[in-house]
Amino acid sequence: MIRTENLCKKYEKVEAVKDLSISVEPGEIYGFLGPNGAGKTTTIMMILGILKPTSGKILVFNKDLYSDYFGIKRRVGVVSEVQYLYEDMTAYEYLSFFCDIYNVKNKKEKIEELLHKVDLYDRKDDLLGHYSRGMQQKIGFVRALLNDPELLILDEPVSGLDPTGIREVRDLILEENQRGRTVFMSSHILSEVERISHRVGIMNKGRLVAEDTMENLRKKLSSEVEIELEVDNFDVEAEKRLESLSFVNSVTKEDGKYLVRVKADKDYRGDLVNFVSAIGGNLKEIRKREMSLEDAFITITEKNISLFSSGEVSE
Amino acid sequence: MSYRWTVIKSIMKREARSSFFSLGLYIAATIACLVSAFIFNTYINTVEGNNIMVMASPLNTPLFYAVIVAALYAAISSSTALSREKDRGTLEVLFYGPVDHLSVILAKFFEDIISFLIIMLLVTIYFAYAAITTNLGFSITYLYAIILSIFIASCMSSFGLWLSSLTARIRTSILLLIVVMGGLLGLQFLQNYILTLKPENLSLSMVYIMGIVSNILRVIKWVSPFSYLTDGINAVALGSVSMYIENMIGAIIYTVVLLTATVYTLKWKGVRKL
Amino acid sequence: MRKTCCISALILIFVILSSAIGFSAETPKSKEVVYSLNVWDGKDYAAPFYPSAYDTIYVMADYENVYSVKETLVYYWPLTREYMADWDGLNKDVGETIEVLKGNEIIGTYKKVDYVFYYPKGYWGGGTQLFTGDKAKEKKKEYDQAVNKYWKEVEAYYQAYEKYNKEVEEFYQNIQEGKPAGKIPQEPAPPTAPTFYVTDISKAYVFSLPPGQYTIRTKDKNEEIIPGTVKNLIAFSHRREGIGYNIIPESKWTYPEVADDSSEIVYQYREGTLYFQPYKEWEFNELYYNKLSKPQSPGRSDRWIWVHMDPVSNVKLRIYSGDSIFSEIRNRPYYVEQVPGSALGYNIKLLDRKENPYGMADFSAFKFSVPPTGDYKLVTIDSKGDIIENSDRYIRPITVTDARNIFIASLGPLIIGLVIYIIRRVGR
Ligand SMILES: Nc1ncnc2c1ncn2[C@@H]1O[C@H](COP(=O)(O)OP(=O)(O)OP(=O)(O)O)[C@@H](O)[C@H]1O
Ligand SMILES: [Mg+2]
Repeated sequence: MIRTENLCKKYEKVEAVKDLSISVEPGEIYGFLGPNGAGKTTTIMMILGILKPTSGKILVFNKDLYSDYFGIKRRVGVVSEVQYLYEDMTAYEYLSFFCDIYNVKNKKEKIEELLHKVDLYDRKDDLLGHYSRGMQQKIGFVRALLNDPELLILDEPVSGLDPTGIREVRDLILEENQRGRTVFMSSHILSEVERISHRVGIMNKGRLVAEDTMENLRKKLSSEVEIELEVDNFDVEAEKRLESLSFVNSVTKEDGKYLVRVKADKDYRGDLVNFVSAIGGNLKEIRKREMSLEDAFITITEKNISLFSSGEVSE
Repeated sequence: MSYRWTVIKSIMKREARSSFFSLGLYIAATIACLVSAFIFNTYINTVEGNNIMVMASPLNTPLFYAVIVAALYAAISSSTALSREKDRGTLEVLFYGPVDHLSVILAKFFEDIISFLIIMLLVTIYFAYAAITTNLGFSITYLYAIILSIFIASCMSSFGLWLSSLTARIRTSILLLIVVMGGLLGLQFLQNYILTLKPENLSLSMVYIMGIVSNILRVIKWVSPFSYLTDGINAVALGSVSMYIENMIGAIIYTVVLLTATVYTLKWKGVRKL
Repeated sequence: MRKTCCISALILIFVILSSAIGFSAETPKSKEVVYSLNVWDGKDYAAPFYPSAYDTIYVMADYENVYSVKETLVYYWPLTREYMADWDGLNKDVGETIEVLKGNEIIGTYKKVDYVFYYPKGYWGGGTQLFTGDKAKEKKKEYDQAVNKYWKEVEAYYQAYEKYNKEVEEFYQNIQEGKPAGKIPQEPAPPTAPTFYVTDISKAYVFSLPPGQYTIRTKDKNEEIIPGTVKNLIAFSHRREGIGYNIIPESKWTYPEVADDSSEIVYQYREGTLYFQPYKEWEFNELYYNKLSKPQSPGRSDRWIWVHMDPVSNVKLRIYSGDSIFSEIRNRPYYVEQVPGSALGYNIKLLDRKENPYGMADFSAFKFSVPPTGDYKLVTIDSKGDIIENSDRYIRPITVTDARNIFIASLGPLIIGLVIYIIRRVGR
């Protein structure tokens, strides 16, 4: 449905997306996960042709966007991070306008059906400027569904919604997916993605750090963490003793540094420091490998702990 | 291409609805009528004072002022057309769907022309009233002038759109419009002033300065939409068919060039809210 | 930024230089070969001259015009921004032949001929005619004879007057002396001078050309082209013929208006009287016509102007209201009678020859009293009863008396807008 190959986007100073290759398969819900500033929105905008990639290739429905711009765009529905609506229009007028753009047949029925679904039918003649943020978000959703899209691209679809809203939207996404629509959904809320995605891609600092099913990712995550260790006067004996530590899975040597894979159940860096000083080694540097899946995951988790925990509680 | 027209039509309809329900258009039409009212009043005073007035197409003078007002409205509304939507982020949303740069720009352009025509319709209704109560009468040149005015509006509108594509904020684009239009208008007035000067009354250094200014103006003539306005007015006033057609063709070329420039500027600047 | 500044400075310097070159300083008198013309301008002969500064000569097509090629002193007169010739300083006839070329083909070769101007009503009377060759000599002879005859008559008159004086003296003496006096002597009538005038016979090239663009040049005795004599020549004709009107409003009879083109509408403040004086008129290209009599005059090649010729005679004016004839008017003499205490200060009255056989008319015109409403069309009808082309003008009385309504109505769009706006708001 969507495939990117070595996609890059450089702003003047920031490299927002680096070498991104992802693929979204038909019928699935793809969770596009990453902390703030990871490059999710940038990627989505490139997929939509709104931002021009610095390099790389994007295929939507296996076609280049510009080979059939209108044809492809008509088969896609988009909900963005922030809802920018024409505030001087009523909900009905607004949706009717987009029906015209998508050339939707029997638009009245379509609009009313979708408004009923998101519980906004009674407010259909209110100005959008008078809507609350959550209601505006729902209108964005309705707009994205007007054209019965085969592909739904959702950029943080539940941010700013209350728990009921989140559940409504989540149910809607699941329902639409069951109707056969492919969903590409970005989020920094782990629990959101976790719950409904078939597959996730995790981004951090512009790079894709993992792309797999949720299950596999969880397995990988729970297994090990990579730690870089630079130590002077380490002999073979010391290496052997390091490898035999109970929490160490394996040790490899990379340009004078040791790459130590340890269990992921706790932070073993303290234990490693203790070990080095115990055998009289001179520790020069110890650090976790950058941009690892864990890293991304932990950032996501840490940063959003409050967000999704509150969501969990009220459910 | 055919699908693009569906898109253009939809956007155009929305825009037209929006201006139809807002006061700006009616205020512009009122100013146009009010300016014309002063000219009608001058006519009445002239005929009353001299007992006689000989004039071909007397409605054309007030019409020209009305066209200037309406065309300025076209320029103002188009100069914020893109920047307003960019400022509010709604432009980006259009591009989620099957909308591209050209379709947005053409839709805005056509909507501007429609608004202009609505103003001219209101003005014409008013003129009909004035022409009947005063017995000034209509002449066929009124129709010619109206037709030509559409081309003038198209110059103004495409110029405004291009200015609009350069900016991402309503305030900046209005400021830009005021500065640019003010500058161009100022130069045009300067040119008219120079034309009235008798070289024999000028000092030699003034003559040099005038020479410089008129050379600069010759270049600006191609850039300024106002020159199409004044040329159009002249064409109708002189009843010159060749000038009339020349003006139309010139206006079409001007419009196409500026709309193309607008498409590229918008592509270059992007459609996202900053 | 600095680069832009540099470029704009360079452009500025360039512009200054280029405009400076365009302005040459005032020229002193210089010896030049010029064309000096007598060209028909539709009413009379104008006398432009073409120094080297002007490279195109404008003449009316199908009329005989007089071309002289002269060497003279030319100078620029900055006050009126035109070139002048010092004919008293130098006035030398040069050249032997004028050649007129269309493209590269010589279509006419002309030698100098005798010519005179004949003024049938005297030098200031208009209606000037040009005669060439034997006809010129004939006209000149006619004039000389008329003048000679006049001088003889004057001589005879003085003699007769002397005789008359004597006779009168005798007559009174006889009466005083009681002698039979006989009849009262008749005073002799003074002779009338010839009313027409004919100029001295001169030599120049006289020819007419069909409309078109040509090249003109002058050759000397040796068949060499005289430098400075090669110029463009545009012979143009009128585009349309029509009737123009002088219109005298009753209330301001010394401020007549003109209505030359059919598109011009004559507005009259409510009811009132207008006096129309129709003229034959021709329509010319403005640029060509202006250049014709004064090469330095400006003009627009895309503008056309009507030029009044002679007043038309033997016509009547017809007024239509819609398609039906409203009235027909004839030319009548009018005189202006001053009325001391009256509001207008004067009355325009018809001069009735029966009542006032020796009265002088101030003007003659076609009088039309415009009704207070409606619209009218005026046309000129020739002696055969046909409407003369391009003689139609619309006449409309202005009916409004209070301009306030015009201003109030101009607020209409605002009211419409407010209504729509409020309906939309209330609908929410
Ligand atoms: N127009 C821009 N100019 C310069 N840098 C930009 C621009 N837009 C985004 N960036 C940078 O690109 C990086 C990726 O931004 P992006 O909006 O794609 O992140 P995101 O994953 O959508 O984050 P969030 O979860 O906050 O929405 C950020 O570092 C951001 O600062
Ligand atoms: Mg984002």
